[in-house]
Amino acid sequence: MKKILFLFLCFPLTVFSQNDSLKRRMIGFEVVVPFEPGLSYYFQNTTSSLPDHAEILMNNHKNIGTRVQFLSAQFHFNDLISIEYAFTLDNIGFQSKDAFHEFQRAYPGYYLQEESKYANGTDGNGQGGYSLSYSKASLGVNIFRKGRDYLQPFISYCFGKGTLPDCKYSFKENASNELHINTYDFGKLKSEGFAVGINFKKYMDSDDPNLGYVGYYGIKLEYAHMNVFGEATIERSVLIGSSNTTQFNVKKKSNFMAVSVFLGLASKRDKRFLSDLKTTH
Amino acid sequence: MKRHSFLFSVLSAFLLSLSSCEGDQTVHYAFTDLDLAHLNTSAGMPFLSSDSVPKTLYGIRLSLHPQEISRKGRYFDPNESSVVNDNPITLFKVWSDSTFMGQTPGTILNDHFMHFPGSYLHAERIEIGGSIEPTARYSPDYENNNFPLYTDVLLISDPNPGAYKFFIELTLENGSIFTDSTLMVKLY
Repeated sequence: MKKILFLFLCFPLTVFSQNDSLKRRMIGFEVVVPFEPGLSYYFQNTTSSLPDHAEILMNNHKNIGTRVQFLSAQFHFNDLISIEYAFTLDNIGFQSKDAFHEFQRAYPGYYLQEESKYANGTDGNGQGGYSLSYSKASLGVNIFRKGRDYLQPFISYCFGKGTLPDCKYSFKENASNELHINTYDFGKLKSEGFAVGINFKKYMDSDDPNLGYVGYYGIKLEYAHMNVFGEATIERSVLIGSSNTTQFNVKKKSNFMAVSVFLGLASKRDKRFLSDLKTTH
Repeated sequence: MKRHSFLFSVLSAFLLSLSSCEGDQTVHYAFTDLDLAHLNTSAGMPFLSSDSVPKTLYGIRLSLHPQEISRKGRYFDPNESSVVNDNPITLFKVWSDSTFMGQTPGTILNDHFMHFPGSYLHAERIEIGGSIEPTARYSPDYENNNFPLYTDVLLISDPNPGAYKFFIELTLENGSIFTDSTLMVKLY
């Protein structure tokens, strides 16, 4: 829904910017197409406020090479300031450790049964892992321009949601038949944070004067810090005794660095391309 | 309007007939007998044991001798096919012929056991006057063996060390009753 809204918002603005007066043409509009292959390195740490069990479920490997795809729109003001809105096109999946084996290592006094393959979906064996999806609002400055090359540092406010699949694990005591069944209900967790980075853009030559757009490509170096928080519950059911439900606050920090390349389209009726207009009209 | 309803009904019936052509099997079976054996859960999953078992790790395996009654459909889909016990267990009883945790011989001990249908996630306590529902669904070989050849009940109490003999009685829906006893087991 968010994506559809975004498209509806973007395209009328684009058409508007083409037909507006020269004064308005000082405002440029760019869309980065959802193509940002690159290299991302995630490093994460969890706070100690998490119960041990939840800590295992939310703990993750350090990842290299995870793909992050954004769709973003930038407005430029007088070739100096830019504001940008971007959002992830899909969940950024963090390769989770195998929680099953992590539990086994953490609780040597218990036996965890490896579930039958047909029990998938009901046993929730931590599949899917922890993931993030978020939007970011950025403010950038064009600090350097040489011809059609731009260097644009930016700072972003990020907000979105974290997701961890609900799951269920059974723990049988090695020394007895006592059985604990823990049901983890994480619901939707919020995420908030910031990102800083720098874009290097190269605008293409625009030979066709009738074309309202000019393409560009670039490389982006970005560091993001996200806090994930919310409420979750663990229902600890002891088969021999009664069950109890523990509510706890989830706090998690995710940090990642990404180097990516991107492709985009810029409205040509921008101050940056006025020279093109003058020569052709 | 009536005509539209009629057409809708015909279309629905046609779609239903298409869905039933999918080929998922429906399998009917029934238990034919009962044999009991000792279990030990020290390895996590229960395994057959001799006549001496740690008391907190004891269990009983109920071999149920299922027999296939009918099978319709082209293939068995573990997620879609239905496996129906035509004569389900309606009453489960377990007791001992000696004093067990202060209870006189012959007292029903259902609440000292839990039913383990092959998955600890789906294990359940057994109530007095209650029943159990064996299933093969949690077996890794469910696709090939659709019926539960056996099911397990595990002791969840901590009785005094000693020699015990347990009896289990299953009452089925059609009124037939299967009874068997374990050999004497030394719980230590």
